[in-house]
Amino acid sequence: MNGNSNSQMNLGKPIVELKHVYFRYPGNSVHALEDISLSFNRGEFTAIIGENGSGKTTLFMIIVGLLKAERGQVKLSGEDISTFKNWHGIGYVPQRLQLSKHFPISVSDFVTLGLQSTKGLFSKINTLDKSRVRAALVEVGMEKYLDRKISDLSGGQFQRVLLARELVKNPKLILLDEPTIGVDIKHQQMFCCLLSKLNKRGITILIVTHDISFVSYHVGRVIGLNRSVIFDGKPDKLGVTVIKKLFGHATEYSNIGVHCKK
Amino acid sequence: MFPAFDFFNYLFVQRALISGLALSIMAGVIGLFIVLRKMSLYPVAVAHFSLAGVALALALNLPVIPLALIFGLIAGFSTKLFSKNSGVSEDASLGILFSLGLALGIFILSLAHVGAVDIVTYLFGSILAVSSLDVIVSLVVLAITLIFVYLTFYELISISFDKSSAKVDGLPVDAIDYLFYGIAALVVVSAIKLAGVMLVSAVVVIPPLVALKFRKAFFGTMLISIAASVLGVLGGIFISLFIDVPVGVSTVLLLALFLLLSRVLD
Repeated sequence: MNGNSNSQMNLGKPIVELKHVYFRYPGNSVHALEDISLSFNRGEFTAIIGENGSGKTTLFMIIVGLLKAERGQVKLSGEDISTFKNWHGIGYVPQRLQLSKHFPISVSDFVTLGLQSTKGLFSKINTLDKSRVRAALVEVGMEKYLDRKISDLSGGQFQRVLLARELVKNPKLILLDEPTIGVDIKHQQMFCCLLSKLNKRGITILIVTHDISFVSYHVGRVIGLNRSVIFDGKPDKLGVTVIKKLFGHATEYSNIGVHCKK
Repeated sequence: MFPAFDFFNYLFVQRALISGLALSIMAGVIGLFIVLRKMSLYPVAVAHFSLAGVALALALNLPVIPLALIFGLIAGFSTKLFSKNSGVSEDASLGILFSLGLALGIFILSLAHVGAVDIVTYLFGSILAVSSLDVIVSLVVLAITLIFVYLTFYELISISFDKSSAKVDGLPVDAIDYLFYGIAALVVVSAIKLAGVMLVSAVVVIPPLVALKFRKAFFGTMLISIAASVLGVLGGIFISLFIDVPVGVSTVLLLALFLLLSRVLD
């Protein structure tokens, strides 16, 4: 299980590729996703937007292999998902509000969970691993909270620790499901800047959100989803007509995150 | 010497204490994962399903604990198989196994005309019932539990926190789950002679609930869970030496008192 996740990523191919993907939940007559064909290249920062029930999270779960497409093909780094093994190169941050913050664990142990998965079963944590955990926490600005319990963190701080748990794996791709939901504006801004910084370092980032303000400044590409792809383009092309089609009403979007510290 | 300590000279007391210490340690450890994974019904279902094994052993005059362990393992693995493959939710599977095991046990007992006294021993636990074989079984299960938890410590925590993330990490979640369900079933069943089929789940579930009130990190919480479990079970054994109540009853009442105190002092 051990190995250098990055070197094994096939550099020439799109990092994620979906061709004519359909998905329907068991017992449901309506497809949650219909004929989705998308490809994401290395270094992209893409937001997937849409209403609740538009299939955003389902799409993520198919990409990370938690759900299996009913029809169509999913490839990760050029390899079919059914044979893909290099999961350590992928970071997945699920919706924070679905997770229990009252779990009895310290911040450092929590980040170690991500690292442990790269080391293989039965291997133990050594001093080098501890420094990697610390480095991941430095990256998200949470090194002062190393010994705190996750139950003592605010929503925004916990979100950054969730990100550190993935960063410690040194991933090439990170998927984040609604990371800014329930987080105050200040921490939303900090988090957006943090993601921008990681993206500039070469990490491909896919983010699910229904916060259009978020997409307006940081991301290079927006996918509008309503069970099928409604929009795929740069955020400045996201006009009122598309937004109405996605959300049923027009929404103004602001420039959250403009003032990132260098 | 204080007369109470004369009890230590009795072999059955020594067996009960060794077995009680072993089961309380493993219950404190495995119980924490069971509570964090929100599967507190699991020990209830496994214990009641193992009653069918107890009944079969009594009817056929076979050693009870080995047969109960087999039935416990069947219940444990069925829970995982049902919830993974049939679309039946885990709590529904546990509810079915709980009733099915009880019905099967009573059915066998009715056919075999086993005496009520025998079965009451297994329902509520008895200090007299612990045999040398039971002591060996409890020590072996303790060793298996500690080795398993030591080797897969972070993996178990990861799966307990969020199974989806653990799967995306590439962890062998199903393989670890089968081992966990199997070992948790062994822990529960090896404790039924002392704690009783009806009461063993409380011995597994209450200590971690007490420990969680202390708001420590994971390892600290686990140590407090073990401490609460050891105090509860050994205390329960001592109470049942002085007052004629089943050891399962005295243990659960003592653990419930700990839980109440942890809430009041919070």
